[in-house]
Amino acid sequence: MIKTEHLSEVVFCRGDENVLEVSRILRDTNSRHLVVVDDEKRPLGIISCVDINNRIVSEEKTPKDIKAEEIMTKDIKCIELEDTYEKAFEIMNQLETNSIPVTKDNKLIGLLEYAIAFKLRK
Amino acid sequence: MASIRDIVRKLPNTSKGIVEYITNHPIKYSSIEDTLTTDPSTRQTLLECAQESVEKYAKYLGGFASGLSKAGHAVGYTADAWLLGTGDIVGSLGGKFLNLIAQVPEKLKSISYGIKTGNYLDSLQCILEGLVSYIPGLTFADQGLSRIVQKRMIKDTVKNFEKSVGTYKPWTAKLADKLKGLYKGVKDRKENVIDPKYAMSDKSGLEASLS
Repeated sequence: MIKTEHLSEVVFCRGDENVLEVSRILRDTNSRHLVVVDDEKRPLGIISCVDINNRIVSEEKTPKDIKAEEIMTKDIKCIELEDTYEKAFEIMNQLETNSIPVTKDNKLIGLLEYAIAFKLRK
Repeated sequence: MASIRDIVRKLPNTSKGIVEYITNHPIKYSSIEDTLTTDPSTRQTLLECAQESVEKYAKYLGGFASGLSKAGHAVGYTADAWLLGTGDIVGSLGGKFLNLIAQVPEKLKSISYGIKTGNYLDSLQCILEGLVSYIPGLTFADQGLSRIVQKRMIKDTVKNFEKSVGTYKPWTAKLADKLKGLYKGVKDRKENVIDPKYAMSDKSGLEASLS
């Protein structure tokens, strides 16, 4: 089972927030990506700085007029707190990501970094 | 006895030593490092600036007052050790009083130094450190005039060098440059951050941090 003390803080936004606000959240928290959640804090998708660049800026769209849920990457893989570091490590290897959102009863509670999963897997 | 700080990190008192000190601290003196890398011939200018500083300030280094101050520090450290070993604060303060008296000539010299060079803040710092060092256990707080002057020589060299090569900026301009790079309208985003420590308590990051 994954321990909460091994998790990192996670930045999130609501799906109905506009992309201008999303970009400001990323700037203010010095982050490169954030998780989009619903009212129950269930993860819906993920938005990275690259998404904003490729799906808004380069296509000359107005960030204020686009909602986060319209540009997010959907169907993201999460892991439950009851799962193992080994499983988290395998998923991150498959997806080639550096972190994975962790949920408790489907509610977002943090991020597990690749290095931590690598170190603590059995 | 020299200041503890002199034993831990000795400062230069020759022009060559000052140049060496500045070039050995490329992060602290990054603008000088950049100038020297771009134009190695400016190293001679740096040496000349250091020589000027040494000529200006060397007369305030060492001397009878400094020797007496060092002897006083030795008594002060002994008094601190006495207090630590025996808990005898009255005896310790007696020893420290001798130290305080021994610092008087150097503090008078620092006033003269301040008036002649215009470095009044250095003089004030020297006197205040001497007073603070009377507190039991704080003999090390008094670095002595010589060390303050050595620091001044380094600052003076840096300033004169930057003026010579045209890169000098007063501290207000340096501060303005730093602030220029900051983003505007940055907000606290605790409500957009989930802290795993509080995530199980059904509170937002902001609520959790306030509770």
